[in-house]
Amino acid sequence: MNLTSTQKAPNPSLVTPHFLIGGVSIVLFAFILMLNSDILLLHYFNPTLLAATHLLVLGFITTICFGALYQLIPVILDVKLHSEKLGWISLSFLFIGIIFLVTSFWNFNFKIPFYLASTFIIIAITIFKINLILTAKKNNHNSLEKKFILTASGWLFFTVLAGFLFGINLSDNYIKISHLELLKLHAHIGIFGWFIQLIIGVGSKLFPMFLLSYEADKKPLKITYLAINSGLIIGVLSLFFSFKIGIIIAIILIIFGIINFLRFIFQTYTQRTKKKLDVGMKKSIIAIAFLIIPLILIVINILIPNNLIKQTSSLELIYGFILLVGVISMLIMGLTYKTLPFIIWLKVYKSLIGKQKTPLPRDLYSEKIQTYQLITFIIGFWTIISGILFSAVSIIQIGTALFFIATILYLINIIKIVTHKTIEL
Amino acid sequence: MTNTTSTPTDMQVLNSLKSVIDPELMVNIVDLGMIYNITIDSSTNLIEVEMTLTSRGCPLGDVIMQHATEVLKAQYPNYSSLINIVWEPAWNPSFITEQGKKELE
Repeated sequence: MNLTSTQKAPNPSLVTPHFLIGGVSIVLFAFILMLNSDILLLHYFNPTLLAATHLLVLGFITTICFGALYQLIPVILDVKLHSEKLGWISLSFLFIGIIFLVTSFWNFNFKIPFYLASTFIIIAITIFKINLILTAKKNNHNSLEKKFILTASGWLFFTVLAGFLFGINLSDNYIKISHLELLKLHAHIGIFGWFIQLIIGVGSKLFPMFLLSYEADKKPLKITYLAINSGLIIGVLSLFFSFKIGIIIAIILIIFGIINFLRFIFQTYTQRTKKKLDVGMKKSIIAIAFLIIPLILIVINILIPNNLIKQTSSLELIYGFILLVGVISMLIMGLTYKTLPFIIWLKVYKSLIGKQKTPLPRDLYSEKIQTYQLITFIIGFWTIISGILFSAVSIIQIGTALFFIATILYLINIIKIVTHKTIEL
Repeated sequence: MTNTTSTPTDMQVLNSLKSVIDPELMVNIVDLGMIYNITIDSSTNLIEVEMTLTSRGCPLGDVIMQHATEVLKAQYPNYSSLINIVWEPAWNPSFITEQGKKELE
């Protein structure tokens, strides 16, 4: 008999450190923002914001994505992870690399610590990618989810490599393209190539599964895959050859791809059998809905010439903040409650199932804390956006304080889950 | 109710399986329409359950099967049980009973 997904699940000791490092990283990110709220009114190319952003994207988002993927691969690809040992080695390199990288940005030093950081992170991602390819090879079915995940990991590698070359270019100016354009390229391939594409790949399997909705047509997702990836390739080439129309074509293709994904999610949501949603699922759906705002901001940016917009830098910052915090981070926070409790619950209660009454996975964390976390997150998030729009530091300070509280609440729940011990009912 | 002497009926087994809850959906596996067939062989004292999961990669599949086995073992100690996971026909929400739908709302 084939192994079930439960038997294919990795040891929780591989998954939990990813979530703990991620939880601590987002608290530190929020702490930096709270103590330095004024940086959100400066141009985004400043050392503190670059350090904080990399702490968020690598320490929180990427680390949790790695851990969650190790857990979700048996669910999505129906195979066991190739090597847990490689997962551990990858995490070790990633962790050290992140510390060096954030320190380099903080000190705006692109010499030895930066080289070390980049080397460690590139090694971590290469090991992750090899592990992923060897795992995917066990599954002969060339599913769309598999394509999304493998392609996303390819873009992650490219993003890190581009970031490394960009960092070197800051000290030894060898590429004759503006630093800001290179930064935009690095950020966009990371956001749309890695994060959004991974979310689409994983989400196209998890959302129907959690919402009990299998009627939605998957054709739009095929269009999404083609549109986003061709858009990214055209965008990268156009930037290098300074071909402006090419960049606009790339943006249109990526937007078209995302709209098709949103269409799929909308169908899945409206046709769902499970009407009552828990807080984790509500958070995830709100995060996906937020994706519409940056798309509108991109269209505004294309249609209205920059000289007609007074606060181009603020709008660009808001655009990035919504994508990284409002969409990606919030979605990860929501899906944390749909992944982490299950692997811990299985470890703690598997031997007791059916023999005695056991708590459910949702009993491993506090629903109340999760609800307060959602409220403080949403209010904090929109307060920060308003503060940036009105250039008001005091408003941003209120927002970042609320956001900090939200991240602390999130970390408390993660700790509650991973330290859970058997409860007899 | 525990039945240790007489041969259990399909209905009794089905009712016993109602105590197996899907930990994510919080609805029992019978009302979710996951039980396809029950065969009781009194000559070999074997209860065979043919069931499915709501999704192929369901991370809780093993736990649900284990729970069902434990319930049958406790309810019918003179019988051994065999749970077979099948994928045809593929599960879809139309298999959920009215009671199950109510619980999901």
